[in-house]
Amino acid sequence: MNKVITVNLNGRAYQVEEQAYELLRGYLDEAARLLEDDPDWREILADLEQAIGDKGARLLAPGKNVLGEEEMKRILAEMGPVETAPSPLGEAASAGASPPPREPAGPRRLYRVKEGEMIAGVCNGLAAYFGVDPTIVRLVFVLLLFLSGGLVAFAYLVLMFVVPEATTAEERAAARGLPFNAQELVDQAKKHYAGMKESTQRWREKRQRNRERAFWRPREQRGAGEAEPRPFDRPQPGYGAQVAAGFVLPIASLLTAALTVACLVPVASLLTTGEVFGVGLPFDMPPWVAILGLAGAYALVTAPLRALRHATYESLGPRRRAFEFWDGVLRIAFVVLALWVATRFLPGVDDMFRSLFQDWRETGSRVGEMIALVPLP
Amino acid sequence: MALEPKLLSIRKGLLEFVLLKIVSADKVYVADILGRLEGTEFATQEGTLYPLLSKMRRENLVDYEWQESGSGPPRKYYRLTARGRAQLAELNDYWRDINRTIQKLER
Repeated sequence: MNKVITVNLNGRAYQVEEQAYELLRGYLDEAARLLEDDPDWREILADLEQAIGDKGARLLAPGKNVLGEEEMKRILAEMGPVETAPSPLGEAASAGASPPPREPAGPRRLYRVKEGEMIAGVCNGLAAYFGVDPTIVRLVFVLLLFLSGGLVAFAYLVLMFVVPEATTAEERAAARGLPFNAQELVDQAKKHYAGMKESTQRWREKRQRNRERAFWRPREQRGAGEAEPRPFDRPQPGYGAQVAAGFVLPIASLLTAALTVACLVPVASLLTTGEVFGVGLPFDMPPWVAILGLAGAYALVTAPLRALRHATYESLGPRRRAFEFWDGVLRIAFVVLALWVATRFLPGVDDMFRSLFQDWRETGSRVGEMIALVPLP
Repeated sequence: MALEPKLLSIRKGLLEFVLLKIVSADKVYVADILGRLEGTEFATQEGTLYPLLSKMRRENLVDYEWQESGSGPPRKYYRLTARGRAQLAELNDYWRDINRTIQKLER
C-alpha cells in the first residue's frame, strides 16, 4: 500500500504515489533550477507540467486513477532532461575562442572549515582565508596561547561561535576566495554597488517563483507538519545573518537564563517565607497572586527573547539543529550554575533553599494554604 | 567515440533550423513536432523543445495560439511569424551555400 498525493500540474489535478511524487518533484525542481535565467521560465515550466500531465492522462484508465513510480519514471524519461536554449548573443560569444572564465571572484570570507579540522575548524578557516598552511596558523595559535596566558583560548571560543561554518560549496569557495588586496576590495565594492539594483530585482523574481512553485506541492493528504522543508526551500542565510546569529544567540540565551534565575529566586522566597528577601508583600497580597504575577511577567519579558532566539536558529540554516540543542543545554547549565552561585554566596538564599527542600512537608502545607486562599466562586 | 560529440553539436546547431522548417509547413503543436522528428537524426524530447520554442518566440520567430483539442486541455499551436519566415529563407540559402562549398571541396 502506498500513500497517494494529489498534485496540480498546470491547473489539473493528478493522483500520484509518494515515490512518483518524489521523482516528479525532483524533475521539476531541477527544471526550475536550470531555467533560472530564462525570462520565460514560468511559461516553460507550465508547458512541461502540462506535457507531463498529458502523458500521465494517457496511462490512466477507468479502473486506474493513480500514477505509480514506474509510470512516472517512464513519463520523465520520455520528457527528457531539460536543456536550456542557448541565448542568441551570449552563446555565440562564449562559443568562440575566448579563454575559459577565471574562477568566480566571490568575496573572500572567514568561515570555519571542517575538512581536516583539529577542534572546530577556526585555525583551518583562518589558514584558508590567508592562504597559508593550517599547521603554521596552529603553531602561531599555540605560541600565542602561552604568551597571552590563555587569553587566546577565549578568543578561539568566541570565534567558534561567531564565525559560521562553511557548509555549502559556495561558502567553501568563499572561505578560500582569491588573493585578497585593497584594489580588489574597492572593485568588489563598486561592482556590488552597481549590481545591487539588479540583484534586488532578481531576488524579488526568485521569491515570486518560489511562491509559485509551491503550486504543485501536495495538498492536505499529507500531515501539515510532516513535510520537512528541504534545503532548497530554505534560502541559505547570508554571511552577515550567520555572523549576527553567532553574536545574538548567546546574548539572548544568557539573558533568558538570567531572567529565569531572577524569577525562580523570589518564587522560592515566597514559598518559604511568604516574603521577598525579607520584605512583605504590599496590600496584604496573598503569595499566590505574587507568584502568578511573577510568572506572567516572566513570560512577558522573555517572549521577545524567545522570538529572537528562534529567529537566529532560522538564520543558522543547516546548523540550526545542533545550535538549538546546545543552546538549550547551555541555558539550563547557566541556570543551575547561577542558582549554585547564589546558594553559595548569598546566605539568605541558601537558607531559603534549605528550608524549601528540608521542610518539604511544611512547604507542601504552605502551598496548600495558598490554594485554600484562592477564593472559590 | 570521439566523433559523437561533434555530431551532437552539429545536430544541436541545426535543431532550430529544422524547427523553423517544420513550423513553416503547417500549424503544429509540440506532440506533432516530436512525432515528425522521431526516428530522424533530430529526434528530441519535451525537455529540450519547450525551452527552445520559448526562446524562438521571444526572438519573434514563432508565435502560438491556443486551440481547443477534442480530448484534454487546449493546446498551443505554433506558426511562423514574418520574421521567422525571413530567417528560414536566409537559413535555407546559407544551407545551400554550405552544401555547395562542401561538394566543391570533394572534387
